[in-house]
Amino acid sequence: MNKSRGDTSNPVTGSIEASSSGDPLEMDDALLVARAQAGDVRAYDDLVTRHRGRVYAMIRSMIHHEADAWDLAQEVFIKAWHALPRFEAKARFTTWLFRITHNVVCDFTRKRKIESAGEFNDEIFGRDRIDPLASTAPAETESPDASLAHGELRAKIEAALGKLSEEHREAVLLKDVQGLSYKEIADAMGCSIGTVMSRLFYARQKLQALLKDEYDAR
Amino acid sequence: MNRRRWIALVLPCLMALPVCAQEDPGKQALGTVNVRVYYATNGDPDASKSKKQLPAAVVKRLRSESKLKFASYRELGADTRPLFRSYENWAQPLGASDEVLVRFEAQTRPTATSARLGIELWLSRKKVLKTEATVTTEKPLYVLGPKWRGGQLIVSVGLAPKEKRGS
Amino acid sequence: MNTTPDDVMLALWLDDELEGDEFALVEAWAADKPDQLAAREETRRWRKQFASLVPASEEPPYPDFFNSRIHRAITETANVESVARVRKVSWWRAAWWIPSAAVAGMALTFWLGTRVPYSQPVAPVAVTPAAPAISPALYTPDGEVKADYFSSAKAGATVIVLDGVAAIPDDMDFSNTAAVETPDDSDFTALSDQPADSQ
Repeated sequence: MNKSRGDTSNPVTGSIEASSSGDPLEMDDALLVARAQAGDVRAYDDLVTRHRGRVYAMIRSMIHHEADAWDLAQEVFIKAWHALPRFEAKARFTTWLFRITHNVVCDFTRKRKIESAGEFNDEIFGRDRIDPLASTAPAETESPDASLAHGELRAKIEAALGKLSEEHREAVLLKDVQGLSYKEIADAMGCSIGTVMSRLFYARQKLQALLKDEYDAR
Repeated sequence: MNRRRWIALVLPCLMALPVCAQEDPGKQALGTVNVRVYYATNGDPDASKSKKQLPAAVVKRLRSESKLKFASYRELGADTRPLFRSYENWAQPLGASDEVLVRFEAQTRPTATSARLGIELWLSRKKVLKTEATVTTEKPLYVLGPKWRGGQLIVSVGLAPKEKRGS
Repeated sequence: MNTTPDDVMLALWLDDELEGDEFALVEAWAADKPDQLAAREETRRWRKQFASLVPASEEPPYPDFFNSRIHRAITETANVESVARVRKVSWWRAAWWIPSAAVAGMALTFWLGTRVPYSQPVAPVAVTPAAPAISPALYTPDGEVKADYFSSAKAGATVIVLDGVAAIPDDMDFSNTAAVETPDDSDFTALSDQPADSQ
């Protein structure tokens, strides 16, 4: 269960009060954030290490292309560094990061519209034409069997998620994968709780239908 | 209201709609990027099947750097594309072939003579290089790339002078 | 009390987000509604199973490199900003003498004008320091490919040398697309005979 953090003291000045949930991870984040806000780059490096997995996983699930997920995840943390002076401890650091992730992914999706005075050839520049097996981001090695099974399941899920709009996809990922609360999702996506509800309802219905085989087998 | 007056009132509004829809500041072209592919070899330049010689000044420039110094050069192709404010663009310098593709986007607002670009080089439909570089009208980015027919390809990414901005 | 919860309250209850009194109220309301209880169980089942299919966290490839690129971007920006701040501070410190320098400059210009047959430009009083060159960030997704960057003063260009990139098959033919002389197809990098100084 996710709860909104209670009020804490300003992490920049003075001591850090425990959050209402007493979550040790949140307390550690608050300490690291305070040090990073004071200019401690090593503290920020710790924050990156701590949160990069979730940010990267979220972006990968959103844009379906490992190609750029690696770059975009870095962009999130670079933007977060610059915005750190404005971060206040009213929300969890994770939620705030997902807000930045939301903006970065939106910008990326918009920038991917390739237009050049109407002369451009869809066939050539369509991303589907790019070698699907191309390693466009640094890739770790994986055993062939695991790679195959992982790849097939991943492909099914990505295909199902791909049939959702970006907003629906993001809502269901933030809720059912990342475990954010409705309020936190609304903050991250910049919409109302009611909008989150309706998006989530629709997304779940659609995914359940698309992933019926996988869903029933587990 | 008679028909004529109705048309006079409504028509300008309808005509304005597409204009408003096209006013996307992100599509503003801030400059022009020129991408060229050279064939460089110490063997027979005719192996490239290209007859196009490089300008003497470019040859001089390339030969002045040991890594780019070859006996002969030919130009295999070029592409000129607008640099958009908020959109990426692709250059395909080898014409119909997508063997060499360059994706670029503006990282900062360019000046009249320089631009900081995010650049990706794609070879055989695979991204092989991602970089950010400042290119100017007189200082391009050269990428010494793959071998081919006894020579090597050099990809040049430069900013076109404003007075010679392409269409 | 068995007041029917509104849609928001019900959605929060279904997703286990209620607590305290609100939870108790809705829980009491749903106690005799097996369809609502079943819906909550179904929602829990869905969340658990979907979460098992999609990873919440996935280490990015080359994690150390991931961090170091971010570190580099942050520190490069900090260097540029610190230079900008120094310039700004220097200017502010110098501001008090600018009016005097302006008058002196005008007088000097006038005097020079009486000494030479044609006007000559006066050297600027203050020179803005150039922004420090930022070396490009670069990476190659393929671990077999290495990229070396350097700024070539001789060539007046930035050069990246790729090592390990696969050769293009010799039988690949670009001749159909080979460059053909066109009147407007000029190489802009040939505009200057002398390579520009590297930045």
